Amino acid sequence: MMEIKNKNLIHDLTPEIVSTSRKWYFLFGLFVVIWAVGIYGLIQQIDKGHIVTGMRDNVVWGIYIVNFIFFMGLSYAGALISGVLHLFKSKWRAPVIRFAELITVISLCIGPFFIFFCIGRLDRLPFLFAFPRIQSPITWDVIAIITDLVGCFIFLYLSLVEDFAILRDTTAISIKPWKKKLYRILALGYIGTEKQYRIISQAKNIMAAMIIAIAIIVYSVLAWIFGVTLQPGWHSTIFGPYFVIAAVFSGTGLLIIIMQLFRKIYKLEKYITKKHFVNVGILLLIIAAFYGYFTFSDYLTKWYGSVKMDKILIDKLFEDYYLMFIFANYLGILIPLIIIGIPRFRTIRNIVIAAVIALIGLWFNRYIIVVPTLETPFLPIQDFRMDFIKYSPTWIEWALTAAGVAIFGIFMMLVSKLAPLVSISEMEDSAESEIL
Amino acid sequence: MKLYRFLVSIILTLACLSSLSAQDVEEPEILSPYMEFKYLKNTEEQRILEAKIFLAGELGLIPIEGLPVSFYTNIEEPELLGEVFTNEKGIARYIISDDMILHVDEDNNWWFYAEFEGNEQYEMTMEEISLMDVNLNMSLEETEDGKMIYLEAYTVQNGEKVPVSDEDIYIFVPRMFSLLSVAEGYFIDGEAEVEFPDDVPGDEEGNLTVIGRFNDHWQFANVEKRIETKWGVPASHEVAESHRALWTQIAPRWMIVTLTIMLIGVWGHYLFAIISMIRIKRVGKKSK
Repeated sequence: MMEIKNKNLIHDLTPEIVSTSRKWYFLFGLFVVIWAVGIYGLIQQIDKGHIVTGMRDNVVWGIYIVNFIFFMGLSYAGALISGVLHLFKSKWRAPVIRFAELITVISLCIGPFFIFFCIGRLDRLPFLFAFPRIQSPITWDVIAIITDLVGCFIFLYLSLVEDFAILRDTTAISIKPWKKKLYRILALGYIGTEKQYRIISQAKNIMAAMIIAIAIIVYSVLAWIFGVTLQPGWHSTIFGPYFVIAAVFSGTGLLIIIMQLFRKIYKLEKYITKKHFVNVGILLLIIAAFYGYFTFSDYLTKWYGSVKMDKILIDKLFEDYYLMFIFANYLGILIPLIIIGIPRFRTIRNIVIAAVIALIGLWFNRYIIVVPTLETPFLPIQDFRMDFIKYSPTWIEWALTAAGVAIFGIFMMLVSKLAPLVSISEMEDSAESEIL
Repeated sequence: MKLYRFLVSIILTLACLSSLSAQDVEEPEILSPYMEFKYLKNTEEQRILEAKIFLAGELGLIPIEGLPVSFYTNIEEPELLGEVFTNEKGIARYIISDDMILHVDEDNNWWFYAEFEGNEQYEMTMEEISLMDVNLNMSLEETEDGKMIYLEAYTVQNGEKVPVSDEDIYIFVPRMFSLLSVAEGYFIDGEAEVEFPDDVPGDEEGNLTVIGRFNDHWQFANVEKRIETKWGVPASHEVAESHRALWTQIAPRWMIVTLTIMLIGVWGHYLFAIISMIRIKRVGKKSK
């Protein structure tokens, strides 16, 4: 029997497992509607072809690829944060780590779908598996994403086993019989013996180390898909670490937003306190400084080199993409730095604002990495039309982007019906004086 | 509150900057397009007038779609042949009907004129062309000397055939994006002989199209004849056995070894984690 000392923990951390609130239904319904609009857009796209998108001969990667990179970045950030927090046994990690793990797995499930939306000939997709060329960064990416997905699932599951055992055995709350049955299967017979604890801790430690390494490798591979080409703006030796840092930046931002959302919805104020926001906020601050440094370094060297195509690209960024460039690379970095850097500004609300700005800025950063480069081809193409030169996403692309965000919310909410979003076992293990 | 004031001031500053730059950009401007005007007499003896309207941009030529182009003939009393709208490639194409009798000037030339009148967005643009009609014949023959192309060209002036002399003619083959010039000949007394090269790739069976053409000629503009033949070198799509490299069929050994070691390392640890789960279950059963 898995028993815990603090019975209130079970009660407080499982609000949606026991019953479903109106808020839950409302939010879930909203996400489903957004998702349905996206599906309608997708049907239009499949029916009429990619002509309904803004993508043309030059800009063949639009916001679908931007979203792919963005979601994959969130995922790797989640993996890095949860892995590091676990390995370094941070005392404050308990209420935060499950969110990071969920961000990892859910983003990783959503991201690759944007690749499918982007492919004109989906029937050729199996060729990637049937005839892989391992020299191709695309093949590395396919292998890496599958490997990462499996690893992150295992890590998430391992961290859930103890909670499943607690929910299986608890009498503190009333759980439906079918859920009890499910917990019995998922808990793998865990009863918290010393040997079981040792085995699961060892497995979790190993998987935490693995997912840190894999996250770095996988996101570097994604960066190299761009970096190994000779395209202006992409051909950069620092793209690997730059992408990794940017991913952690966006993931940390999302973590703060998710913490605040679920803290409010599930009334977790007692467990997720200002201290947690400040700690994760300081992580965001450090990453923002590194990310700003990488961004500056990347653009400075390109601008100073004055290679013809780089110069055309940078001119374009400062003219056609001026506001987006300023928001992504100045405001998106400086505002989080100022808000979190000055102790007076460090309130929960301000930290969440900083996180939202960081997250939106990072999305724009992805946009100005992908699109302007494709609008600046090496070979001047004769006879190309205006919409071939200037990409602008259509409502279908926006609808599918919103659907991606909605499905993220749907998954989070569904998980909250089966598993506690704040780990009960971690909370029990952590020093109560620290948390409560 | 101070923070919000700070954020609001930044956003307002940006909005002002963007509105300033927007003012610069949004001033109404009438653009000056260019026109390219061509005449082609193709292998079916169709006479085609083609006007292309475009803007010259930093990245190349930007075609303009949907502009009306009027085609005229007869320089003395301009006569409207027809009006055609430019397509998405900026091209307006007019085919002169076979039974149309065109007016010739005192030098035996036809005169054509294409005009876009202009609108609130684009300035007026026009081009004219003057040319002499020429009749071109072509035949192919394989002789001991090689693959020979025989060409004949003459004009009709005052009802009499006048052979073309001292003019160049070019031999082309179509390739993926344009026509490739492979040989050239010279007319003497209305006849030209050109040897076709032996090393021009065709399709898998060696088929290719041979084109004899006056190409952008000062007097005849574009006139061509096309013949399908098997004079090409059959293209082979067999992949040659290649060495190990990034760009060949088989990857370098170091890459295969590195990837294999990494994958075995990672998936090995996964296996360990899965075995740990099985052990947890076994220990649980034993403890019960």
